Amino acid sequence: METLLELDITKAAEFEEYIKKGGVVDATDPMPAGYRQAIAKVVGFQMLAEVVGETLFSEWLDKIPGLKRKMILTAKCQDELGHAQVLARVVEDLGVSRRQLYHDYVDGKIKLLNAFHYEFESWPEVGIAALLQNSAAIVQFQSLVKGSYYPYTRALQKIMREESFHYHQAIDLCETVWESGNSWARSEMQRGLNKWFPIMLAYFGPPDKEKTNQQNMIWRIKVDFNDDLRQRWVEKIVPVVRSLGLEFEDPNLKKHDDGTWSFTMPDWEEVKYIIQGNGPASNKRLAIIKARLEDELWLAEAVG
Amino acid sequence: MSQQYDYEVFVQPKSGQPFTHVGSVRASDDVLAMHFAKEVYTRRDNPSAIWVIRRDHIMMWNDSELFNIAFEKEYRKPGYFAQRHLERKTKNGR
Repeated sequence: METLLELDITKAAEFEEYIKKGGVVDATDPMPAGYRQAIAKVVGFQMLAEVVGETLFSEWLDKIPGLKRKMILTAKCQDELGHAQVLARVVEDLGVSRRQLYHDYVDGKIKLLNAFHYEFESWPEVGIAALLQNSAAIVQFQSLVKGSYYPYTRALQKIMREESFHYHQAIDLCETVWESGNSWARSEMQRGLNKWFPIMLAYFGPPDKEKTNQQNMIWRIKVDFNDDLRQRWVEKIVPVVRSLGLEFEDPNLKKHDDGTWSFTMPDWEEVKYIIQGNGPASNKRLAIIKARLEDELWLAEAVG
Repeated sequence: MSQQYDYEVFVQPKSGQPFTHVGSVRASDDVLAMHFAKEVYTRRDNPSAIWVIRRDHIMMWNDSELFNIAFEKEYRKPGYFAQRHLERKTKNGR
């Protein structure tokens, strides 16, 4: 196969043909400006999601029952911020500053996925939500890792290993709550499932199979359609959750003979509304990151 | 903020094994780069050592033409002599 150095990357068709044949791009390769922007957008988005996603958990650190659990959750929070560090390097190599991304989020120019606009209302909810989130992230990363931009796929490989670790951590927490918790704890975990299952169904985005000529698909920045990822996740997580002893309240949740699942589709208008900053914790998340940017400026300056 | 540098990070998983490139960190000096690399890339594998090296100190060639020297020098490839042996046998009908 030709290398990128032999191609005229200013010709869109030549670059697309290269990608179509399985070609990959590394940080030091020439690449079209549009591709560079598109990959930076995806990676920057995930970097922010890691940072903001961590705040859902770190705000529980001083409320956790038990020192060991506290240490376990601290490790997860450190991992999430580590993922952000790795992704920050990928975007910086593409010419985007990580600080700029934080500011774009705080200024409302970048809107994060629906899952980052909520908060956990009880400790049992943390366990089940973490389980649904981690399994969804793994399904999503297993797809993105087949993408065309090497620095991102390398970062994802490291991230996926740790997500799998967090997945087992979440199962352990759920099992502990279910086995040792009282009836309140169990009902809280069930409430958490009822709340987070629709949120995580929406996490994969609206159906996009009808949208033809998606540039990110052509460039293999995005690999699978949203509905396919959603199906993969449901297939994976439903039996796991049922084996814990919990039940899904969605009356439409059903597996068909052909292996596909049906379920109640999220209300996409509502999801859009949440993403615009109208979730129960949208403002809280923004405030936390804003405060960090201000409070930790001295540290950034000291180490920078 | 002072000048920042990109450092490439290499990890040696176990003593005696080759160092493997794992990613990069951005830092203002070598010692900080080492600390960042340790925090980001060695949090659970207990490797035996890490290297950090400033990216602008790394020399790179990535022109595949340069590495094509083996093209007409088949005798540099391991399968060459086995192939010749096979051809000779076939030719002699043995």
